[in-house]
Amino acid sequence: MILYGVRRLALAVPLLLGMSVLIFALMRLVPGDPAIAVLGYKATPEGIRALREAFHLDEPVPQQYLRWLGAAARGDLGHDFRQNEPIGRMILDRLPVTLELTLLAALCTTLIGVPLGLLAGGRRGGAADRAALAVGLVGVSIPDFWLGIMLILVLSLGAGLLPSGGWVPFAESPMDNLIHLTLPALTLAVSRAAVLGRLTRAAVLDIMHRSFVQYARAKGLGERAILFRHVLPNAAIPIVTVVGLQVGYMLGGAIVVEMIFTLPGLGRMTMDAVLERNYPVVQSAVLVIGAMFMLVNLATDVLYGAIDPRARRR
Amino acid sequence: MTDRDRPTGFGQSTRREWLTRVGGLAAGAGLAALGGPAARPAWAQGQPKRGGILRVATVDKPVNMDPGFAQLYSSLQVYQNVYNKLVYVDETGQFVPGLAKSWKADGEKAWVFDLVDNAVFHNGEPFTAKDVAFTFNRLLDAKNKLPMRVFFSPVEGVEAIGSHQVRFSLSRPFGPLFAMLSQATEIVNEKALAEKDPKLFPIGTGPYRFAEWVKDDHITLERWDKYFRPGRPYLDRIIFQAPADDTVRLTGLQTGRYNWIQTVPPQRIPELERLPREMKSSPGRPYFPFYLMLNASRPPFNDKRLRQAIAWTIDRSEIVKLVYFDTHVVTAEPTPEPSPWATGVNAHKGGPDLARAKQLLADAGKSGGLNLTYLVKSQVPVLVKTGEILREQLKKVGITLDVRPLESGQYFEELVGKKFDVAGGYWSVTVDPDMFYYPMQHSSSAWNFCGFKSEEADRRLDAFRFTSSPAARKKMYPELVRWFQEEGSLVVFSNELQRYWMKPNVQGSAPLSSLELRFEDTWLN
Repeated sequence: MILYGVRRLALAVPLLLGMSVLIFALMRLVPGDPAIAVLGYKATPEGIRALREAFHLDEPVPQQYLRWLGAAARGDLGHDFRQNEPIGRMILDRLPVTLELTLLAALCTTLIGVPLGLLAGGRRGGAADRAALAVGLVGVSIPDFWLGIMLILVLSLGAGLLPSGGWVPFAESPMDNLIHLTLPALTLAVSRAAVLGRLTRAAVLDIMHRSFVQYARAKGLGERAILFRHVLPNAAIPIVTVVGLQVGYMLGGAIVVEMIFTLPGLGRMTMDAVLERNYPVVQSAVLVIGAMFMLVNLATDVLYGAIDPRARRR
Repeated sequence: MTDRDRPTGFGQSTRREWLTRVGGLAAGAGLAALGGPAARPAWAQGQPKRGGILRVATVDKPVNMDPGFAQLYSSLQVYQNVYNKLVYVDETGQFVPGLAKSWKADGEKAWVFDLVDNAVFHNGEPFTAKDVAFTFNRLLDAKNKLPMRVFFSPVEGVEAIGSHQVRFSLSRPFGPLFAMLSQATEIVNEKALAEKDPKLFPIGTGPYRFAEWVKDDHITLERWDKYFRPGRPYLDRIIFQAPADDTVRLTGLQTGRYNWIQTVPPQRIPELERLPREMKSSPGRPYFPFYLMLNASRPPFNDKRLRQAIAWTIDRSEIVKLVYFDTHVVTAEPTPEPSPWATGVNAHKGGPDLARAKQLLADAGKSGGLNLTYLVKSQVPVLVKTGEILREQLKKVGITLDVRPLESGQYFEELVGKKFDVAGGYWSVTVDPDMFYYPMQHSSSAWNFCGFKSEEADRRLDAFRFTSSPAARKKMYPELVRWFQEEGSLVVFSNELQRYWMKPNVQGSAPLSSLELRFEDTWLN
């Protein structure tokens, strides 16, 4: 298992390199001069020249890439165009927000989606199954931005139960931190929980027909015991896979939620950087998100081994 | 300081309230009643009280606190409370003392300012004339490459002639000097600039000192107890945040997350005016001209007749009604009333006049039709909609308008490269109309995105700028407005009413022509 982990980590290096080349090239293919984008109405010829010189934008693209790569290898992600702030610091400041939001959302996704799927799969064709399917369908269809605003209107503005946005660091007040992240986490979780619920249902239905389940039933085990002791562990592999993938997507895709709830996260920073043509920020942020995606996949694979002993032997 | 610091929010003391609310909801509590009489003007009422936290939601996030850059209005709105200027402009458009308590002209090419002697910078350094000299000489030194330098080009130098007296020497008479001083230049301290990077941590003499900046989240300012105006400021703290969306800002005001916000969705104003118990607004003031830029550097708008055809076709009232829900005033000049510069001049009075427009098109050989592109930033939906309404209006005279919304980077590239026929825009600098016309229409200006070049225009703008007599400038201004309406390449169509929204207990906040958000005189009842 350790060897497997080391091999996977070693594979990550060329993958990240390839990703960095792709992002570097794509950003430069996007129309719009970054110097003009940053300066806006103050884009005088002198200002444009000065900014391009300061950030080496006047060099050939491959040279710019190699310069950036060399610095990144030394741990220096450079400075952003707008405020000349160290990008490493920018990412470190915002990463905890996105990470915590993602983890909370993943927890909500699992706590909502898995029971929904178990309920539906365990009572196939019944009222509970139909209700769970309907809830799942609605959940999958709702866009995050609409759901977020609705939750604010109902639970914050209407009922005054939860704040409409903002961020309180965990170290400052754990309770306020969690209260402020409740609505954002729910917003992210709902559609993903619906997907997970449907997948869980499908996995449960598949396993329910296996011979060992028939045997357990013949032994006299109750349906609940069968579901939790035999079906769920066997359904766990696809569940863990989907949750792992969703965590990866949420890490990079929480932009809309971060904007609605004014959370100072990585997604919002990256989105602003794309619009500003803030190349070094986009490159570094995407690289960091890509690396986290790979780590999540690795963690998922390691988890397989913990759930299914057969996976360890492969 | 974070979202914990909210009097009606979710801090320690309100968790009990939170639980009570949950119980209330479970018992079937309803929503608050809506409706009520129309809101009264939000003017300062009652006696100022010390204390409290103002939570401000602006439109865009700040990027750079160095006044030498004046980068993005959202940055100025914060640091204008940290620094002071020599002079300010008040609600009536008059110049009033700031760090300069009085001033007098010394001939046509010099001004002497007497400064206050009790101001102290937030690092403990006493304010003196040397700070004023340092501020301007830093600005004027080409080596520093500060963008604001261009606005002070006629200033040759600033010297301290006493401990609290400075002299501005000009290369020529400079009419908008006080407008520039009131809009653009905060006084810095040399030692402070060496102590902290001014882009990230400003240190001034202002009513509030900079406490913290959590990027993408908030900026906190705290009262400066050694402020030179006794008794001011009133507030303990100000927390600035910049939610990206009008709806998020408004919801924040309604939930109590903010108690002051800069804008609301215009279509919701009639509804919000019926909620005086929840919020109120300041009076609206037109300080933000909206206009069309016609690219005069190439065909077709290098032909004045075609520029005039557009000016005679546009229906300003329809645009203001359909796009801006009457939150703008219809105007053909950049500084309408109550600006002291308002003239009422409209060379296209009685318009739209489609017959006249068609005649102009025919005279220019375009009676068969014209295809134009309208360049606009996609992140400004109101200007996109303006283009859509304009498209329908221009159809009536045989002009086809292709509306091209582009995201910011591409928009600026096309604008700066003059790759457009028509572009929608707005301008935030109108304390003196020179600050509108000179950058946008003088042939030497880097902001002349229309590429408009005319010796007559330059002559008129130079005369207006380089005359020191306010009376003489006032006299020449109406004719300047008319000339640019008839010859120039800008079509001003409206002016946005600056109107701020706040909780009923917020007092002493009003829009200013400088667009400053000065909270020195603001208090909470």
